[in-house]
Amino acid sequence: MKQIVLVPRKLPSIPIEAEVISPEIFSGKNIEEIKELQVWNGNCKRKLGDFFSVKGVKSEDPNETHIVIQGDVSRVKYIGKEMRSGKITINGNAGMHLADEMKGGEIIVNGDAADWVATEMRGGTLKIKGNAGNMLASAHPGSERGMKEGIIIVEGNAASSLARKMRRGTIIIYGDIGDHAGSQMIAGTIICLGNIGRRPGALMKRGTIIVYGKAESILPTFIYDATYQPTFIRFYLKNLKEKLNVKLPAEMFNGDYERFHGDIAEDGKGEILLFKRKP
Amino acid sequence: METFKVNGVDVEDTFAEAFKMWGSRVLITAKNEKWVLNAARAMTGFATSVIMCGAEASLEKMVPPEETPDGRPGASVLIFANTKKQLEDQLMRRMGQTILTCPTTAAFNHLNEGETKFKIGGALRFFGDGFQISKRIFGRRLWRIPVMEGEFLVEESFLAKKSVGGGNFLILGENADSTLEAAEKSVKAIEKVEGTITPFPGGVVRSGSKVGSKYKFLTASTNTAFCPTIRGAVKNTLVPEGVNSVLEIVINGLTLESVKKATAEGVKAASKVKGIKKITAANYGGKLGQFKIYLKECLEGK
Repeated sequence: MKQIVLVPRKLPSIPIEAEVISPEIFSGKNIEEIKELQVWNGNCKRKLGDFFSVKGVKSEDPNETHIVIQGDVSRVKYIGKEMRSGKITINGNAGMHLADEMKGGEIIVNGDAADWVATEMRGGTLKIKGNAGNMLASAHPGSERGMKEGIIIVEGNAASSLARKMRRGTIIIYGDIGDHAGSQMIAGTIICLGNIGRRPGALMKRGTIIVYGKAESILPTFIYDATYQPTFIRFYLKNLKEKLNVKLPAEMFNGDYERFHGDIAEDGKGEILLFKRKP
Repeated sequence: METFKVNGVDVEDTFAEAFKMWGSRVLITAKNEKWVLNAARAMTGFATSVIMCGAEASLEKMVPPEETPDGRPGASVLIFANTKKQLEDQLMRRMGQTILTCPTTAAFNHLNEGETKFKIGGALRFFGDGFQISKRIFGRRLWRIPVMEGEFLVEESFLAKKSVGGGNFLILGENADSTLEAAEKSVKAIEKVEGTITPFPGGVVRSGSKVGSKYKFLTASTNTAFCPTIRGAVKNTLVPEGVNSVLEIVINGLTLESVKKATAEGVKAASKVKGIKKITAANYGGKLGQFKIYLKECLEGK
């Protein structure tokens, strides 16, 4: 892949909206053309080159375009919006609305990510090495569906309201998840290797929440069914391990899981699978 | 008929007449090998010949846990039928009655490519009576069907591809023991050829057939030309002097190349056994089958 490297200069306190930072938009453009791309700073139109130094080699093919951001862009919004292919690596913290409606390709954040990341994601892979903020992979306000496809891996913790109205896809959180995860979930899978906060799966219709750690509370509208060893979890985990190098505790593969189905205030076809530790 | 030598044994320069078939490959996994084999044996039971069984099926190979999608011991099963419709029907019947019913098992499509696919899991799911759950994991749709034991996991679709059935060769030996030993060694050698099976019991057929019979109600009857016990009574006998037993190895494969390779490996293994007098192949004059598999070409690697 051919790299275009962006190094942020001193960024203003008012966030920048830079949805132009995307392999499809960068591909086919030379360095000067990339610097001229329009961004918003508050209500002012500015150029990308006003906030970033740009260097690297241009590619005609978005699949072969790798954007590397060297530094903290926690005040830069909408990076990788609707991207379909190629790769973005952020060596620093990422701002709000990263990977908004992302459709394909790969984004790696070697740092933390802010709120409202991967909203209504539709494909591709997002890896966050640090922590993720609130509303990760959720639906925009007023929207009927959240994440629709793709894979999200967070190596740290995820804050509240993860995956609201999630429709499809896979989310793996190595650490803890805050309150209200998977609320109004329609389908898809959330795997939590740490602990999960209050009210997981509230009003979920279908979908699966797998918890390796502890659940702070399970809503009374989730009914315990049985403790068993789901074969599909083995299939899931083996694929995640082999294809995405996800680090998983060995005991998760063969372990017992307590199955709760719910939310019976909705369709009741969702499930929370709680790993059961051996005494 | 002209012959050529393999390990000092005469091999007739003739061909096996093979047929177009449709084939699928199913990977069965389970808690341990014991339950994998229980399911695989049940699924491939009574599947020696399409003539009366509807399908020809057998265990292709055991698959170690590292290579199965759920990390449990597995077995790869090949199943063949004459038409797509028959194959789909047989897969439904056999998977529904033997894998679904067998404790701890799961079933996955194990073909990478095929000309068509059957929604086997997509149909078996209805057994879940509305409580089945779909999961799409890395592009593969799976169904979780609740059963009394726990949950049956089955892939939605199974691929099928154009295949070859009825590859064969006959081993003619001086006695029953040496002929059986040669047949067993052939089957063992063929087991190593990927994409092939020998669907008869232990991989061996003792009762090869010919087309037609003196009885009008029968379409096939014993291959009198190769029956040693009536050698003196049959005018067109093909049993040479000194031959007292004949066994046939029938080979089905996912490709013509794999059947040819299996034929070569089988013939070579059989020819090494003391007491084997001749090896030949069965055909119907080349009028019925779509493939002519010449023994000489197989052994020359063509």
